Amino acid sequence: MVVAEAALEVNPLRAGLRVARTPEPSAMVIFGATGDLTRRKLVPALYNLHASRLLPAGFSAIGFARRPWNDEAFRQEMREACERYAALPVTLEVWDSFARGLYYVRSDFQDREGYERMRGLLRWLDRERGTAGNRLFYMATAPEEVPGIVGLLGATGLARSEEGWSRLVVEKPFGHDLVSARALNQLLRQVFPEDSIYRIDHYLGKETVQNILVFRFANAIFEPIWNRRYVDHVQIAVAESVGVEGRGKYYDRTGALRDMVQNHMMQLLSLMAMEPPVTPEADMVRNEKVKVLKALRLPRPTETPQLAVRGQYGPGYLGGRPVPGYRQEPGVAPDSLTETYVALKLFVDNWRWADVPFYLRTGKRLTRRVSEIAVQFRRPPLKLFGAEMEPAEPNVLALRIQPDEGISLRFAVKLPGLQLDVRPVSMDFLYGTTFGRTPEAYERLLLDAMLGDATLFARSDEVEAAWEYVTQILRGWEAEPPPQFPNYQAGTWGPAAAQGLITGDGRRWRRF
Amino acid sequence: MQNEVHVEQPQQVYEALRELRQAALAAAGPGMPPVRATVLNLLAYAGDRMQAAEMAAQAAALAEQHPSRTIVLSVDPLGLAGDWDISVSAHCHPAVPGHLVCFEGVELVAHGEAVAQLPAVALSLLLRDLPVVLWWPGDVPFGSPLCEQLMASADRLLVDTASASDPEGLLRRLADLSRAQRCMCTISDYAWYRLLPWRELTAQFFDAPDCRPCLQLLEQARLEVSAPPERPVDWTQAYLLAAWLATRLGWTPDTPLWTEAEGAQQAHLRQGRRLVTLHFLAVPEVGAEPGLRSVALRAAHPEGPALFTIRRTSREARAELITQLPGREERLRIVPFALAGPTELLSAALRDMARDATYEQALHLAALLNARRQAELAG
Repeated sequence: MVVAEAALEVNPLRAGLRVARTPEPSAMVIFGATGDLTRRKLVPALYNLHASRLLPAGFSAIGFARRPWNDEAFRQEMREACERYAALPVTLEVWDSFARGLYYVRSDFQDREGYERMRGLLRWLDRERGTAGNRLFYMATAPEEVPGIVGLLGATGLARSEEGWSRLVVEKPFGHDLVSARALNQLLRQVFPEDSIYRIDHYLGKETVQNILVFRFANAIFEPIWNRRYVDHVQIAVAESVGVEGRGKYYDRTGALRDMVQNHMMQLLSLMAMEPPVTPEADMVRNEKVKVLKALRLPRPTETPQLAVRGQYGPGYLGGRPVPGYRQEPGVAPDSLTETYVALKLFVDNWRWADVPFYLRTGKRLTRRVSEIAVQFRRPPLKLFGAEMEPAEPNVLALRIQPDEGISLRFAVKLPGLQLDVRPVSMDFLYGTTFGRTPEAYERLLLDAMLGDATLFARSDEVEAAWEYVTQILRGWEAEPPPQFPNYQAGTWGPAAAQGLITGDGRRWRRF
Repeated sequence: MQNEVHVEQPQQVYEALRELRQAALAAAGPGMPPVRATVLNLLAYAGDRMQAAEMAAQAAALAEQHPSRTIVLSVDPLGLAGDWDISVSAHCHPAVPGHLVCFEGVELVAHGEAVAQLPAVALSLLLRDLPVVLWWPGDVPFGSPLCEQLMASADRLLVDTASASDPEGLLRRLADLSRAQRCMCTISDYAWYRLLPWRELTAQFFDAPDCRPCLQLLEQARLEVSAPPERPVDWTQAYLLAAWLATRLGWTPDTPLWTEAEGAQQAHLRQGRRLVTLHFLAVPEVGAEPGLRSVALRAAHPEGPALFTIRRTSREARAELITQLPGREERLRIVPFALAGPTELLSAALRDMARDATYEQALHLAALLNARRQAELAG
């Protein structure tokens, strides 16, 4: 039996329940509360958590934005958003109970007086709803607003909570290059300690991404072959069929390398290649991820053409319908040189992965949406079976992130018959066929931020290490003549030059 | 899509399954290869054919979450000698784009002398290397050859005390079984899964730092169960919840354990010097589902009583959660609280195959509370 006197550090009633703990009551301040992220993701995720009985009593969310709304208008807007985007049904009394915790502060982000009104509201919530001084400040704004808001949170003293905890959640982009990332990190750390800064990468909230660690370190059979001795190469793909989706202005300043590689793909790479952490705690996992990123071989500018290919889509067809080229998208300069496609060959120079190439590719308006990590193993040393002219098919282990989340292993079998014919087959595990609804990425990440679990958030040194590599590529591109864009048609698998990146090594991209 | 065939002898089952898989492949057409998904063997014992059909339907409804090979068994001891009724089915559904996912079901009815062969036949149909869950709702005939042989091969025994003719008797038998470690399998009970939202919401009160100290100061728990007049009161949920609180918080039975006052039964426990009283009340409710309807905890906070109440309203399928701390505004929260249906209960029970030490501790104390109540209040 559990002795309560000794167990008050943890809640003894939590033993054996589906979540080890629920968060303490807190107030979440959403800067940019009238924007798309709040409407489509944040508040629907909060409602799902409430309806799943995972939010604590007294939890409150304050929308902070410029539009002339009041509490009632904010609640009404968020109700409509939840009816449209929440995974769980919105019912009258459950909604009312949730909505009682929604408030709105109308203010310009640079208006100090607005922050003072927010302070008054937070104090009232501490007293009346028991939020106990716990605050989560969520930056759902344009990236250029973040430094000013964080500065004012520091200047007004709101960043420090006397009673409870105070945390900051920041959305990507975490800077524009290594210099700006360092400057942003420095600015954030002047106001919030590093362990209170949660850099959100929604990819890490996906169940299948979290499963990479479980797959690798909860199974004994894969780890012994997860190294340069058995692995020929690794391919990581994040292909999108969509275009810039109304984000043309933002995207044209960003491009695929910054928008996808620096964060999502580097996270996938580090989870795939990292050493086993000592414990599953946040810093233990992140320490190992940082080691991978720090081991990335930095290309010299002259090497960039052999290691990085960029592309931009022109008009084409997707799903049988014509789609415009990138330069015809709203908000995009008609002579834009921003890349919408990147293919990279990189190396992790450590004991485990030395000389094993990692091929990464990502792009917009590709043939279909696919995200996966594929580990291709070395071929058998001798070809004993089948036609002698054909090389033996290598084994491939693919971790599919979307769609058809799951894992497949390709191996060779004998075809039935009198002859000894060999054919590769695929053994599939499909997540969607085996386990039911999984929580949305934002549900998991918001809950973790409230709980103070930073495992699935990026640390400043991770961000900077990823930028260090990406900035080298950017420098190389700056030294090259301007690219001849567009160089691939929408609805295809990217520019022809990307083929050369891998076929030159006697390998080929996986077919999706 | 479902394909079903009937066969006459158990040895024809594997051939029938193979043909069903081929038929599914042909029906799916090119580009939609069927995937066979199985994470466990579900060995279900049904009292009669109607119950067998219900259990098979519940297992089929879980195809997406717990695809299994389901083997539903029932017996007809007075039937023809050596005769079997066997139906074999493959259930396929497009769970993910481009893939048809299939799992398998076998319904076996043993007549007359074939009853004696039923365990051996059932066990021969299990998929290798996958856990076996023996699902036995209603009365469980511990000691019978059929039950004992099936239990010997099971990793988990899943029962429903609420559906037994003597729920409290089954609760005590389960506790005995668990203590004696006679069964290699772990034991689980639908009653425990029905309590899951109650346990989660109760625990949630004390996640809040200002409420956590009250855990050490609890002095009273009041547990109300719905009592439909048409059937005897089922106290098993209330006993299990009380026992869960007690085992988690270190409360031990006092002497005398039970008293009765004003129609309510009271159990007295102790944490060190502090007394904790558990009040068990049955509230007549026409047409209500039996089970817990409210839990109220009272703590002796230094500034006055602190109250934590969960009240389920069955019609609206929601619960009111009320926290009352001395000198503070009352906190009210309303959350969805639909009673779990049979499929949800089965899904929850199949989710975790590991031994549940929290349940076992609660089960042992719940059985003790029940046994002592019978002894003390009867005397």
